[in-house]
Amino acid sequence: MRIIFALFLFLFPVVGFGQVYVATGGECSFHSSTPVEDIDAVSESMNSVLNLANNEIQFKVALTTFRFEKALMREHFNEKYVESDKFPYAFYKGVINEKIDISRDTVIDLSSEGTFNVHGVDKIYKEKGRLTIKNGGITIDAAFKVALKDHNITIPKIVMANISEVIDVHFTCSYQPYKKKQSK
Amino acid sequence: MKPFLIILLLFAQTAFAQDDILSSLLDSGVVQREKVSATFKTTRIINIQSNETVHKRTLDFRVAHRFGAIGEKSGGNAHNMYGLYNASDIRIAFEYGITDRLTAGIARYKVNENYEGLLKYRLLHQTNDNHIPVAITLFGNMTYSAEENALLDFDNPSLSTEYIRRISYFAQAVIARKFSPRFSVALAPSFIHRNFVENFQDENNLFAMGIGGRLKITRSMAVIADYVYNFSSMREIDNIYGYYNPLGLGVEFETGGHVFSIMFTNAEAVLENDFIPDTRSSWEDGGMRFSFNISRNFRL
Repeated sequence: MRIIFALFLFLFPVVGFGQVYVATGGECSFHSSTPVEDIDAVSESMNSVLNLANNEIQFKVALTTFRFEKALMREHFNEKYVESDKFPYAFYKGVINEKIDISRDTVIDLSSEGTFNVHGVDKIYKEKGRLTIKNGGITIDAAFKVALKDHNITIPKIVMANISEVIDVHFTCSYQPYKKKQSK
Repeated sequence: MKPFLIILLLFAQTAFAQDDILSSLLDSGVVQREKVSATFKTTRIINIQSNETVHKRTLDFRVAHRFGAIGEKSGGNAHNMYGLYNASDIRIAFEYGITDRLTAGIARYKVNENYEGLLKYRLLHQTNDNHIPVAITLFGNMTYSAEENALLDFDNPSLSTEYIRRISYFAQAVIARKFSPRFSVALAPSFIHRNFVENFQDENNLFAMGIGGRLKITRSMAVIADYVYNFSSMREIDNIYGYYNPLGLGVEFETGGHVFSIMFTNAEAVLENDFIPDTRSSWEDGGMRFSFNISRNFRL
């Protein structure tokens, strides 16, 4: 009886892994719009992990991977605003509220709730996104707004007219099933 | 019981391994070793060069002013608004980032009506993991003085002598280190060659050592200072000839695309080939003057 129970336990980690999807090199962009100036930045180094067993989802992007039209903007972004030497990543840890069925090709709208951290400050976000399942591959894209004040990102008075207080963020991640490379 | 416990332990191991693998997956694609950027806010500290160059495809329009001496002993008084009505030197320059490493520029000066062509090249970047602990930038210029000067035309003015006398050269290596996000220091060994020197006892070739630093106070404002020491026997003996080493102190402000430096210095000229060997004012005699540098970046 015990042996059967022990062997039964063996199943769980395997099942856990089997439901993990990983996205690397996802695209994340943000946009600030003011009458004076538009600021756009793009990163193609966003990573994400989605665990269908418990609907947990995590996103992480290194702030130094964002490219701007003007090199000076990138310098100011990293040096003055997000202080990427102290806080190198922006990341999100949350849960997707709806059940995800990957057996059929669908496009469904999802909602998620979790903690987003940038500039060292956590804040709970409840956002919507879209999940596309095609040929067994999962794609998630979503857009949300970040208020700079919520994360202690302050704009000096001199450039207040150039930078919006609320930034539009958009991202797209394409997931592959996680395959363990070697057995432990 | 025992075999059951052993099997249970194995699961704990797999669970931990899963977390580690997921963490490393989330961190993948990030370059761990990065170049340190923004050691200084602009390409100059006060008088001397910093290790920064102009970004690629960006034009840096620069204006530098040195006013007249403030102290009475050096000629500053209420009649000339303590030097504000005199401009001892003005520099207008266009410096362009050909690549992120290479900057080329042209400039025009009031003093000696100098025209300058310059090149600045980033040889080495400091990295954030101290694999490379310093940044090294090379700077060189060639200047031509267009002014009417009897001394320059003194000898039998054949074509070669006249033009050659008006030319001088400057070479410098700026070795800088960003010690912390707030504090950076630069060391600048320099070499000047002047084809013609007015005082026949003076040296055509001069070595000097510059040192400068900046301390950030707020995100947009920093305190800056620099000093150049001349290795020259003429300039070292109790200022017999009236030469002084240039010292500058000031603050710099940065806005979206401008950097403004407001400072006081005893250097009357902006050009390295002039202010390093030829500064005649001293801080002790009130010979420092109000000065500013403006830099405006345009993305072309």
